[in-house]
Amino acid sequence: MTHPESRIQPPETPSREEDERLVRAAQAGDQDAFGQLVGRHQARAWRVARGLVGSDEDAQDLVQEAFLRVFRGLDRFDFQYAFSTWLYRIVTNLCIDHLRKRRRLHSLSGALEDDGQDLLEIDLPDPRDEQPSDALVSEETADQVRQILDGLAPHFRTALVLRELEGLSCKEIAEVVGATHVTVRWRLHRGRKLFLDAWTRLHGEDGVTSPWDLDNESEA
Amino acid sequence: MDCNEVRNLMPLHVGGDLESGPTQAVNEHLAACAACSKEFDQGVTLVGVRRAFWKAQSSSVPDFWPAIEARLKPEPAAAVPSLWAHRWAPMAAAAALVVAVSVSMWPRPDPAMALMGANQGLPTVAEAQVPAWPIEGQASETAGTEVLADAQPLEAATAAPAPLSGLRRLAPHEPSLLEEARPWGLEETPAVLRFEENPMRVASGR
Repeated sequence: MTHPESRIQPPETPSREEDERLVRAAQAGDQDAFGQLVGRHQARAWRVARGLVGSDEDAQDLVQEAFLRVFRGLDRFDFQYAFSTWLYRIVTNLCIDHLRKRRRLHSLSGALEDDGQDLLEIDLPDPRDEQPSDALVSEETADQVRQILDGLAPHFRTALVLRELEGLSCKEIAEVVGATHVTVRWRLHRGRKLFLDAWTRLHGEDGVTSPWDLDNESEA
Repeated sequence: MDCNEVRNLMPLHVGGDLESGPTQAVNEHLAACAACSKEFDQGVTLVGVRRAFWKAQSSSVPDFWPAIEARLKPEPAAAVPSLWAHRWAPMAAAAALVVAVSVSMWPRPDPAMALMGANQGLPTVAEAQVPAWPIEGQASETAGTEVLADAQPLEAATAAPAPLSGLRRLAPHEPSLLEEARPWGLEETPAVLRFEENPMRVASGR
């Protein structure tokens, strides 16, 4: 049994002191300093945006807009927070707004709002109907993961992305999303439970040991 | 801790999000319960599924700076006048006001006087080459054309004369110049009324 904490490690974090130096330089009008900030943080902004919204194109637009908002708001930056926290907050807010607009646009009959049930009823294919090749299984599994995540309400998805992909602690996520530590833990709990339930409906009780070589992929 | 309690905490435990006290109790239960241990392994596996999925999606990071830098640059057309405008706009506005007032008070004799000069076989204003601009309150006779300047304010009277190069001797069959004058609104001014009474005293206050 692997201890769970060993599975979620935060990605390498740029030095906070250097971020603050660059922010001060950018505040003084040094555009190159802001360019360096973009270079240091664009990967994390991209991961979060791509994890939260469905398409590369939307994610690119949102990340670009997030950095522009950061630039326009540099004078209001609060140095008691990390620059990355501020950036995460702007990116996630933009993505959540985007998801909500998209959900309104594509509202399906029976679609559930955030304050009601938390998961859309998704009509997923039954994997026992066919026996695809291994290569197709991975592709199909990815589609199933995407469908389940798309059905999760944005605040659950945000908590999962920030915790499991970015490795932020619950306290850090609380700062990003402007919620309490307890709320973040509840969102993680509920989001994981809903994901497991949807996955189990697809694959049965034993389906979690998926054909995807997860350990190799996740460590890649 | 029984199975129900452990399963209730499982979604947090699979991500390492339980505090230390409950974590120890849950681990002790998992070591002794195969069913709960299996569920725990499933949960941990799904954490890995999601991580692998997200990592695969975002593996290629675009370079955002060129597009952002392009949007940060100010509009080139707007940059120059803004600097200029801050310093010179008030002076330019004042100068424009003076010019506008001068023009509005200018005695617009050109079309009417030119027409009169042509009709009477006299030189137009351009041909007369008035040597000295009339002084306020004095009338001057220049080559047969009477220019009455007593109605002119000092600023207008002493200002540089308007370009005269557009004037020429007019033939008697060219009444259409009056048509040209109409858009200026001359027919609506008191000066025109006086002009009709006394054609040689254009713009006269008398």
